Amino acid sequence: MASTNSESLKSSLLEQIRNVVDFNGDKESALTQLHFPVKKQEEWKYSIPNFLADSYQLSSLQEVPVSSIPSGLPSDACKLVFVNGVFSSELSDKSLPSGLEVSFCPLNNSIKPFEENLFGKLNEASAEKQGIHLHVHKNASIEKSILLVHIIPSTGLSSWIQPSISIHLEANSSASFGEIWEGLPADHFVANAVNEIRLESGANLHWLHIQDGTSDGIIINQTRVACAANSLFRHIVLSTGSGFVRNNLDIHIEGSGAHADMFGLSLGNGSFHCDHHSFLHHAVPNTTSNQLYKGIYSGKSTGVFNGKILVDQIAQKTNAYQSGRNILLSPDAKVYAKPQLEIFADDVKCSHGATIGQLDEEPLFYLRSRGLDLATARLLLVRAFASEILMQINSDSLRAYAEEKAIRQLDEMTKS
Amino acid sequence: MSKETEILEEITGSEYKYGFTTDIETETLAAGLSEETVKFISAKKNEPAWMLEWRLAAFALWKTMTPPQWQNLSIPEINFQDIIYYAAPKQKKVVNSLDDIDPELRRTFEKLGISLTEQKLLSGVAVDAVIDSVSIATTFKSKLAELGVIFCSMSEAIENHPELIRKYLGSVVPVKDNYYSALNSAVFSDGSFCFIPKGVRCPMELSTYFRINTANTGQFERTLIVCEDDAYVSYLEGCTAPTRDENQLHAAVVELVAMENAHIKYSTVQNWYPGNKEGKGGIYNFVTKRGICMGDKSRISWTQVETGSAITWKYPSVILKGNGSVGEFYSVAVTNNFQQADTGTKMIHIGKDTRSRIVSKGISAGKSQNSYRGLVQVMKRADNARNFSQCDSLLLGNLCGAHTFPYLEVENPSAQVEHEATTSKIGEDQIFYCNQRGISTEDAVALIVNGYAKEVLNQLPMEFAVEAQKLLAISLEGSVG
Amino acid sequence: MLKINNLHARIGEKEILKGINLEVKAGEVHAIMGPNGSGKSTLASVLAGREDYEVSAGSVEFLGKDLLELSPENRAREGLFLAFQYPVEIPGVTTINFLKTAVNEIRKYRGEAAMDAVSFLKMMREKSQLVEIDQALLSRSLNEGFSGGEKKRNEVFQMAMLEPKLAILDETDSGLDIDALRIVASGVNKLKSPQNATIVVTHYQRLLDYIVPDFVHVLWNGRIVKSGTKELALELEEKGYDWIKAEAIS
Repeated sequence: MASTNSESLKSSLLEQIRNVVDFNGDKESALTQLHFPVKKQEEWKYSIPNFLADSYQLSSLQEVPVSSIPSGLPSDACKLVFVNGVFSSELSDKSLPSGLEVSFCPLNNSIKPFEENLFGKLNEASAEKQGIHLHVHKNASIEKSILLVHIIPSTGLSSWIQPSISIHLEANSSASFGEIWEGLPADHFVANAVNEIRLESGANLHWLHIQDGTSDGIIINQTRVACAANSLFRHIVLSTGSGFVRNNLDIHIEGSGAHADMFGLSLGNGSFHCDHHSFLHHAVPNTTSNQLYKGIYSGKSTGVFNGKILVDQIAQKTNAYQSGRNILLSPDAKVYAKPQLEIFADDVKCSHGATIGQLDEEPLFYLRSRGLDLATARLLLVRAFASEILMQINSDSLRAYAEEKAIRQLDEMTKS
Repeated sequence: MSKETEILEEITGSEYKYGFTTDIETETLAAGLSEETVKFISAKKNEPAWMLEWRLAAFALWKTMTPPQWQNLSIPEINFQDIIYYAAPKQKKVVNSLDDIDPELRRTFEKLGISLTEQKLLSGVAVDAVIDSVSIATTFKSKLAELGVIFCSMSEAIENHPELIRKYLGSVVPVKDNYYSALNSAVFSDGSFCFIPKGVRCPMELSTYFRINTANTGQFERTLIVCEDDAYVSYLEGCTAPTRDENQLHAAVVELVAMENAHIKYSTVQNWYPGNKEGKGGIYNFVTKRGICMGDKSRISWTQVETGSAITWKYPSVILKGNGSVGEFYSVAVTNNFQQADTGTKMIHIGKDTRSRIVSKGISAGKSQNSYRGLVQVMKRADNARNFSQCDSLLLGNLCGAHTFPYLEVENPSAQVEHEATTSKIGEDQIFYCNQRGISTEDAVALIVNGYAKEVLNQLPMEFAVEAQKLLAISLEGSVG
Repeated sequence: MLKINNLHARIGEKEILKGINLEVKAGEVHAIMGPNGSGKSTLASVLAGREDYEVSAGSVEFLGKDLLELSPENRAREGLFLAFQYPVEIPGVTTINFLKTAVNEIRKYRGEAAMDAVSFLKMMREKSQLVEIDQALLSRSLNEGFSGGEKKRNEVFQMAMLEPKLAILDETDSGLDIDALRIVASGVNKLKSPQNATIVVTHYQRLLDYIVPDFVHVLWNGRIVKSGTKELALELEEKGYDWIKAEAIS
């Protein structure tokens, strides 16, 4: 049962979308059936976004002047800038690497989400107007990292933004993307993002997602990926901040020989709430996947990991591995983990492991016996713990950028 | 490959051995469930008013509840009005000696491998034999009474030990806990009660054997075990039912209470009729089992070997309230043909320095679905809690499914929680290695499955291990050396 | 005892054995040597009946029976033993229980009564002393967590227990240090009799210092390209395999 409050929020958002987009009966009825999540729903059991504002300005469709993009971004990357979820050609790099095309185009929603929810449907409703499509041509090998930089300017109002981005890699192409949430406002906001990614056969995509903000915003990110034969997809997410983050990452492995890597590092401080929901679907024989999610939680932060591996009956010779490792640093930090296996094929190797604990005493003692104070020793160890994820980033400049953010956050966390 | 499949079918497809029915005169209440049914059962057992009130309150609550939907099971709708809630073999009201038991009933239990004859009693095991809705005999009662151990049917306990029953019944599994626990609280007909007084180490295994005989009967038994400070008991539960085309419901509630430094070891070999190869018939086993480690340093261990029932919905759990208490769950769950199982445990860490260990081995064959579902919860004040869970699934054939749904909820930073799970099939290289030593593929599969489940089988008391081995179609280790 | 005639075997599309001819008589020790990838282990696997290989031509007669017609377990019951290059681990199944099952299956096949626990234990004790294997190892899960040397020693112990007529040792020396090699070899030697035969498959001559062969065969590219006595092994040690290859091509 949705509360009246969230129902009125829903209708206010719909009205704002309706002002600029016509939508037909089908979409309308899908929207009426869905509601904002409640704790009773299994998929939202540990994570309910707390809508702080009475009303939100669906600002994604408004023009907001922004003069500059955040400093400190890697300089050797191609930047595509989104202001309030809307692509800004003025702020974006004018010359694109060869093999890459950017166009306006609604999401085609050809990859069915594991969890159909109101957030996704709301995004879909406005995507018609503001969806962006990135196309990588056949055999193109793009050297430069492509950054999708999301900016939400401060307006004094609570913004609700809805970026919709689809990415298509044609056969045997390769590219490296960075999805970066930077320059988030001090005001409360909701970012309701959807990415749809399709890899054709032999394509190779490296996706780094950095969610960093000190504001108390809500970020809902739903990324759906389809991988064709022999393609290689690597997803790395770094989540820090103090707001609420929910990431739904669905990967469908639909062609033999494809491989997916999923890595996550969550560094929680303050009242940060970070929920990684991954759904990995092995739909054909001879595919592999590897997942490693790590989290360090301090302050009153909460980490949630909900990972499901589904292996279809025909998907023989699947090799899937999933691991979640969490460290709790403070008495009020919490971790909820639900790693799941659903296996319908017998000739498979699937395993998962999850641990929740603290820094090992042994190395801590060792370092202290060599003269390091406790704080330094702890910092050293949490950095080492985090580096296993960060070292998976292939671009040197992006890795340096991510490391700097992680280290700053870890310093903050171990200080307290 | 097809040969391997054939052999697997042969191994897993052996006939259900306990499918016979006993032809005995039975007093049966007409099918249907109402307040009158509850009153009838209570009256039949000469229960005191408080007990009837308790039942009626449970019934009223049950009517407002709905069956749980979260499990990974497809459960056909059950019409609770079609079930018979009371069926009892007609025999002399009070059996003073085991020799007075109806010979037909005695033969029934003998066929099940349980002797109720004074001379042939298994030494070291006291048995409470329950058929349909009533307990027909309890052995070694007087011998146990010398030590202050109470071991009797639940009906007798309500009559003779009302103070204990009123104190503990529903204290671990509240009536409102779930749909089936509420139903059980309203209509439970019998079951076993064990009470081990302070400092007593129960010298023999206590055991209850549950048998459903009458068609269309639901069995709703209630078991309560209380171990006072420093006491120990090992309790065994066995179950079988005749082969029938109709599904039958078994909705039991088991409650365990362990006081300071007490240890309760609860073992189950569940061999309910699982239905035929086409998935027709079989028992629906919807059971709520929970123990509470009330006192410091107490310990509760659940061991289960699940081979039977068409649908299993069962999560033997431990509430670790006392500081330094220990909870254990060892499980082998085998599903075959069209069986479905959703089983696991909950370990709720409340006290400090509590430890829990979960070992679950799922084996799926045929077209069955086998799910492990477990919760490890470390509450805010549960400093230094430790948990280790190992959940493995073995798939025999590619038409079945194996699923793992662990929930880890940690709200205390000093906790250490570790969960590991694997899914695999029997290695072809392992089978070939056995073949090369002259062992047939059929025996090799049995041997390997046995090895796979060994960690759990080792937890069973000797008397039960034998039955469990046979159930897994395996000759167990340890007979030599 | 064993007659291999023009044996061809393939795995998938790839032909690995391309016409093997070999006769082994009771009481003999044959060494099969050859460079990596020459087909040595394939030959051992095909004789034991591993299903990954398809026999495309040729015949194998073992004690008057068509070996290729027999299932792997019946080959074992007939008296063929393969000491694996990589013995598998079977968690939860102790070596004792495993062997008890194997011994009794073989006895049953031969129409003999199952062995009782006492005589089985006695036999185990004797044989374990013979091959110098620690009894404690035998109560552990089969090969699980065993070192390379322990696994190989366990193979020879099983050979002692099952008393095969023909034992095939597949690279039994690989991964062994000199002491382990000596123990394993002496175990094999003690089991030798005029009634049984041994085929030693090895890459190096080293093992043949301890298990002295009556005949040495060189396998290359799926065929036996040269046969001789134990001196051939010494020659190989000295010159390597290249001259054999050159000789075979010319």
